[in-house]
Amino acid sequence: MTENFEISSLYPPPPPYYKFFTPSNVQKYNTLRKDGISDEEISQLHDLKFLVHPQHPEKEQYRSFGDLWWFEDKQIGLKESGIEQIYGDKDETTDNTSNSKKLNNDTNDEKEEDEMFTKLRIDELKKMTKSLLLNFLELVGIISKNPKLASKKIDNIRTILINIHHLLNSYRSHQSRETLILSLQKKLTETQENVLSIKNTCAQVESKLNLLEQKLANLQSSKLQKESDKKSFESNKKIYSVSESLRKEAIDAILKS
Amino acid sequence: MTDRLTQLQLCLDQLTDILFSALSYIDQNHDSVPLNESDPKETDTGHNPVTDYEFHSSQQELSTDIILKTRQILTIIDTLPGIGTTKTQQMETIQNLRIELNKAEQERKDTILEKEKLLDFVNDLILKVGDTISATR
Repeated sequence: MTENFEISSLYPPPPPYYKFFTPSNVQKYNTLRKDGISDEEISQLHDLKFLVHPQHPEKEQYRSFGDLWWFEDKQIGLKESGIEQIYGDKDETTDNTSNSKKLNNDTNDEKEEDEMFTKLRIDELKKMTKSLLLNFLELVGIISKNPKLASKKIDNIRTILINIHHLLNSYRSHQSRETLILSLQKKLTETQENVLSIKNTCAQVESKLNLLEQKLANLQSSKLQKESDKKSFESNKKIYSVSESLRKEAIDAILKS
Repeated sequence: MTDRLTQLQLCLDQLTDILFSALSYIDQNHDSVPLNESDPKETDTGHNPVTDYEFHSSQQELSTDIILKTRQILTIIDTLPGIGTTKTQQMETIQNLRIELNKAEQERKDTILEKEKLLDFVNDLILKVGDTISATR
């Protein structure tokens, strides 16, 4: 076996103008720019011609790997992709007389409508799902009788599927906001539960301490201790919220008895 | 777990797959049927169709799959969250939740601080009691 393995195509070489991007050229360009010389004038100079930033493209789309792409990252509407929109977007039960007015408002409303997911759209989604089923049934029937006519039915199914997917895609941003709300709520309840459990534990410890304190007070009164020792044992007062020196004094007093 | 919308999209893809595989199955496994009753039945040595019974039960199964999948899709459509709320409403809710969450977080910090204080006090108490016990014995 020979080592000479044929390579049908290599990566293309880098564009030849990369040689102009030398440190000295870049520096020259920067100083020229600082001196206030416009890009057009610099592009006249032979060496620096390629260092001038290219203009921004003016069109909305660009071509890459044989496909058209949008510069702006947005959802492409059904109309732009050449697919018939089969679901109804507007409530058709309302007056037909205001139709002309509605048409004018359509362009303005469209953005808000896309962001919102109405009950109407849910119904349309269900309708389309059922219609997909029916179309499939018809397709099976047609194929068994006359396969030549099937292409139209397949086209119908394709349109329905694309419409459903389009509708679902337009729901995506809405869904992500909804998910965010859900996770925020979850976090909120978690934090609140956390706080509650800490507070419960603290309250238990406090009640135990109060119990101790009361027992001690009983003990002390039976022994007729000095009044001054009791000054920090006022009931209903959290012991630990008393200042530290007082606390220590109190503990000492307790222990002495 | 994925969210509802992704589930729905997956289900739809699955449904499309099932539809296609149903067609393929019928295409590949059906037996030949004469157009006229007088015609002889076509046979092909390269093609061995399954028995009638098997074919029909498979058909049953496939159609059940399709119906079940469709029902699943309809159910998921029904449970999509946030129907009828506008973007502004959602943003408001998010904002409110954010404020509330901040409050709760602050409260949590305060509570933890209080707990630490209590803990310090109890620790102190235990140490003192221990000291005295050891001193009196």
